[in-house]
Amino acid sequence: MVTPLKFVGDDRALVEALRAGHPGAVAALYERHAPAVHRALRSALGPDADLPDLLQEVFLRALDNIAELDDYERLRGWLCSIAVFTARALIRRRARRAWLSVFSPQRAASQEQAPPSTEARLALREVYELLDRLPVDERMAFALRIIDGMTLPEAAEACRTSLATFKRRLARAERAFVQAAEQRPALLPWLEGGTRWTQRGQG
Amino acid sequence: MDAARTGLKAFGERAQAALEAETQPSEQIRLARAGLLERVINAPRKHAGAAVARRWYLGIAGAAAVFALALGLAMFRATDAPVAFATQSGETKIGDVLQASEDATLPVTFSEGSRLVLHRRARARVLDTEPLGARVLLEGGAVDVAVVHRPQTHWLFEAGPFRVLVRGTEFELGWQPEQQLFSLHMKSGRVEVSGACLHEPKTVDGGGSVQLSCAQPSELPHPASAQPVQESAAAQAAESEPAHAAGKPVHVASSAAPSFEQSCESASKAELVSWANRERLAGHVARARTALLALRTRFAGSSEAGTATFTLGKMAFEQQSDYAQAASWFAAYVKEQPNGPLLGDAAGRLIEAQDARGDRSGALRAARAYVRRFPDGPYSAKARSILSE
Repeated sequence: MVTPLKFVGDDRALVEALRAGHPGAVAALYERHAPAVHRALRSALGPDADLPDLLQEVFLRALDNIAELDDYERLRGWLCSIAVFTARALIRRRARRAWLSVFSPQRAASQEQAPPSTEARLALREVYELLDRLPVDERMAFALRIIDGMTLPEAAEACRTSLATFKRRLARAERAFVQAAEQRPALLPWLEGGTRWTQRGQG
Repeated sequence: MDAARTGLKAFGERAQAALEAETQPSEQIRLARAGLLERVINAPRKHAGAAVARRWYLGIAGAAAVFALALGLAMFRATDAPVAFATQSGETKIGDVLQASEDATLPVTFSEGSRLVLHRRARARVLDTEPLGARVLLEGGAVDVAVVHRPQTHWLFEAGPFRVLVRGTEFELGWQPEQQLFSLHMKSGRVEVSGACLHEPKTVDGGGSVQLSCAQPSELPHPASAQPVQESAAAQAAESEPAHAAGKPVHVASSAAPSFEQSCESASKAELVSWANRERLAGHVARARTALLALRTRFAGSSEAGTATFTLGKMAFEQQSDYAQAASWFAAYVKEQPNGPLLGDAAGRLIEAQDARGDRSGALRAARAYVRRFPDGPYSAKARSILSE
């Protein structure tokens, strides 16, 4: 395969290049921002084997709608918002199809399947089982802020909501998640000092 | 930061670290990249951004575009100007030597969308350019060529005494000057090969390969093990007379390149898995299906074969809307992989496929089996709703 010519320029030049049809711009867009988009998708959905498909879908949507981006400095945030939109759509699609499951088919919950081979894997499964039970907006808030590690403004932008609304969703998600997580032994090793969670507010 | 916030922050970091370890992010990112670039280059998108999308494969401005963009110039428009071309090092001029290094190939892109990839150590020059083509001299080594087809396309490749006239195709061209050996392997399309020692042009179609030389037979290298020849009638007629006299072409060896199906017959398990993923992500359902079927039949009983069965069902359901076929594949998985990791999902999707195709009795059977085995599974609500109808 021919490697496209390297694109050189900041995000502003990159967006202009995409609109102009520069062949290297597509590869540059992907290489520059795919890790962040992948991280956002993965944080929202867990270790899903459909992540490569979804990653591709995010960038295809972005290329389709590049003309709508009016602030070049928000390129990454805009891409992450598309990732959130894509993840949210997938979650709702799966929910319509199969009630609660949002795991990758390769990790479908089954009472007869072999348990995860490592504690970390088990804990991860528990995390996403708990997230499955949250309303999707609260799930996204928790996944982006707590797991992905986005700042509040970044996460709010990715969710296309105001900072105030995002904070309210996050607060509800944190309360619900922590309350449920305390009942899951597999998550205890991940909780930094179990008593800290039960002694909330006591500093 | 209060204690609860600190706890959550640490929790998040642990979860992220576990996600990193659980997935293979670089592999997933690489896989998606290949599919994305192939779809963007090969499949114009019909929507508000279509005008922009078309320019991706209609025009490549090469390094000149980089400079233009840096100056904030407008988009490239097709003109009457000759094609421009560039390598990763920047724009190059007619007559410049294009030399691939010892350990890397050298891609060359042209502003009308065509591209060359010089193999390692290959050497070439662009001798002339015109609005919809160019004349390229291959001085030595091999080059992969992909020429965009248009009604007026006119590309000419020279390799030793041979010329290849191209209208729109992909091929690999080789010239070994020490041995006076010309080689051509066609990937798609058709080209016409002419040369000082050819009585008439030789047509070579996609899948065909030829090796030719105008040198004396005694000067030629030992031919490699020759495969059965598949040539056009014109080529056979051109070589029916004795080819030993000086200046006559000697047909050294010719073989048809293996098709994707043939390649799948001898590929390893890992190759088939990789090809299936690549083709599926690129939207090539038929080829993905070929690779998946090969996995199933050649590596029956393996976990990869099981996953292939499930993926065939998923593709049939989601990409082809062929619910009968999807049901068949999911049922096959349930039967062949009674303890497989995808059993729950296969059994659940079987219900959906039967329901979608309108097979009431099939859906009921699948729903009963599912509820019996996975009473609290993710598809139990669906199963129960079917049973209660």
